[in-house]
Amino acid sequence: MAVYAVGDIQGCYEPLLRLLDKINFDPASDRLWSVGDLVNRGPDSLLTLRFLKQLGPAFTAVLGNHDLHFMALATGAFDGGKKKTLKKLLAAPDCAELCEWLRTLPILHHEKLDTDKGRESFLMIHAGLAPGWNLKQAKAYAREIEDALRDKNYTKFLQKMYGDEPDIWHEGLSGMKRLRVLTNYFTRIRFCNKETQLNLAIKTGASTAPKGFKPWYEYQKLSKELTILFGHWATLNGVTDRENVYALDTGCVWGRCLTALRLEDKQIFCTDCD
Amino acid sequence: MEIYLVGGAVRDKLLGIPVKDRDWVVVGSTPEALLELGYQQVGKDFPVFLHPQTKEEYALARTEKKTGLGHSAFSVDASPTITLEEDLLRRDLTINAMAEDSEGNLIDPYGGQEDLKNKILRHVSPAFSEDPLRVLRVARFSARFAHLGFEVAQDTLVLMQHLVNNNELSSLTPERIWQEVRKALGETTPAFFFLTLRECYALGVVMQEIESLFGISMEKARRSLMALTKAAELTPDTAIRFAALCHELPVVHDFSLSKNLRKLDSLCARLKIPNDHKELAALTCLHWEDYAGLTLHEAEPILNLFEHCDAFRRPERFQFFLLACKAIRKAWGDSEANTEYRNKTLLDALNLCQDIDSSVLAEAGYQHEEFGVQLRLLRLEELEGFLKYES
Repeated sequence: MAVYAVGDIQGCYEPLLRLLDKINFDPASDRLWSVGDLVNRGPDSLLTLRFLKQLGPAFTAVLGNHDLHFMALATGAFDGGKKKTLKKLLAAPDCAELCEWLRTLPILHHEKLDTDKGRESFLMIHAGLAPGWNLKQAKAYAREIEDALRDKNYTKFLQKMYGDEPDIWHEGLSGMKRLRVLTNYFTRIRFCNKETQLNLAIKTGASTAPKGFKPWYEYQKLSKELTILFGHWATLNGVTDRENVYALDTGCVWGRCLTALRLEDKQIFCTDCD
Repeated sequence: MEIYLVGGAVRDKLLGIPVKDRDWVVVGSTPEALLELGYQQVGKDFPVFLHPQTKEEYALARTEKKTGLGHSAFSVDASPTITLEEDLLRRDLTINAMAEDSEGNLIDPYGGQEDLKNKILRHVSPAFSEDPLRVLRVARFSARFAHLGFEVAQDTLVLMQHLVNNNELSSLTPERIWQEVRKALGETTPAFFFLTLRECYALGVVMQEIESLFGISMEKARRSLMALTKAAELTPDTAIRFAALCHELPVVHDFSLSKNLRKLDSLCARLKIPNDHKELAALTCLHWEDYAGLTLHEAEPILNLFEHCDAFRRPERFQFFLLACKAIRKAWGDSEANTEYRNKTLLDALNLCQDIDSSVLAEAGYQHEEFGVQLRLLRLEELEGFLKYES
């Protein structure tokens, strides 16, 4: 029995299957974790979702910004943005059902597993966290978004979640502003400064940080006690130079590769995505 | 035919806590053979029997297969070839899936003893996911054993979340849900029932009104659960515990300025919560702040509280109300001594009012409304004297 965490799949169904073949994945005994962005940009978002959904409890994922975008389109909460590669999924007869399933996925996953380091504590999010949050806070804030998605008025959240403002976290924020900035930390962050201010415009690698800004994980004090798994940032190409912080998006959708990390021994498995 | 002690009795024995009920499993027998021996059949769906002398429950070893959505969609096989291990496999948690033979040997095929030692509530097999009631049961066991340090295993939590996400909980009847909630309210640390349900996203499905407290502010939710915890320290009574839990549910003043408990009402209606629980919770929601605001120097606010709570006609319910309020005040940081003094003063004051001999009013010729007005004046006078003396 093993647990594998896989990077951003983004509708790359065929590479996903090849990767699972390579690791001899058995849903009856193994588990698959995903850092989110299951859909969009790649060629087979529909087949990807259908496949992952039927894995049942063997599959654990956190939501990414593209997953939220798809949900907004599918529910009619938002009409715009890029949707060409989501066309087939949006037109599918089971689109609503798949969207309902995504609604039940968390924003943050925290779990302790037995690994070769003993009992190891994992925290998985799609993009990142704000500097200064402890585990308890991060879980509570993620839960606020999860609750908004499970609420019966969830389309209102999907409608209002777009936008880069406010760009700085503050405990006193409330309502949609609060949910929006939280969503941006969890699902869109790359660079921020030590005041927790976000810079959502720059998407290049870690070495190109704008003045005063650093990759979000550089501020993390959490990582000593926790192993952090995240995706979203393909230009990192898997390198964070930090122990216990794993960037799993290795640009599958950009023709590079799809990566799975075996959590028990941190062995990395890749499959090419031409 | 072999007979084994199973389930809770084996678990509690190993935990060193008093064994309440003893359940037995019979392997290699048939209903006919048990009836022949004088056992009495009680289960309609399951082959369960009562022992002719001890009246303890004896069940034929059985397996269950899921046949549809929900808690009771099972087909049962209780043929004499079913083994003890097969019977234990269908159970919910490993710590509940151990048996003891007639010589006192432990039979533990699924690691129950190890999990007991490590204080883990873990599912026995993937078949756990076949019964949505188990979400509530596991949460209840966390309420029972959290004070000993028990936690739900994370892979079990994943299965619970999966049951919730698949909408399986919708197949549970309100009666069944309330039965579990009520049992959970009676456990040692009932707050953990609600925390565990919340952790697997089930709280919003089974008790949306309580979940909504978390949405309003963490502080409200925290105080509700703290009041429940304090109530559990004060009394085993589930109505008082329920009232403490619900005290933060909103009181809405509608256009007619009458007070409206929409959330509490909808919760009670949906789960068909019995009247005594509902009444006390409503009383507590409406008046716990009045209780907290009393200065104990002024007679009139105290008399008003008695009247609003119908304390003269329902003195016993008023005592329950006082206990619920005590738990709430303690959740706000008030001391045992303060709250105890407050409750004792109020009870003494109530008794004093009850002891007033109203026959003098009747003899003086007061009737109807005028009688009530005069009685109130008498009560106020008594109370004023009492409070002056007390302080």
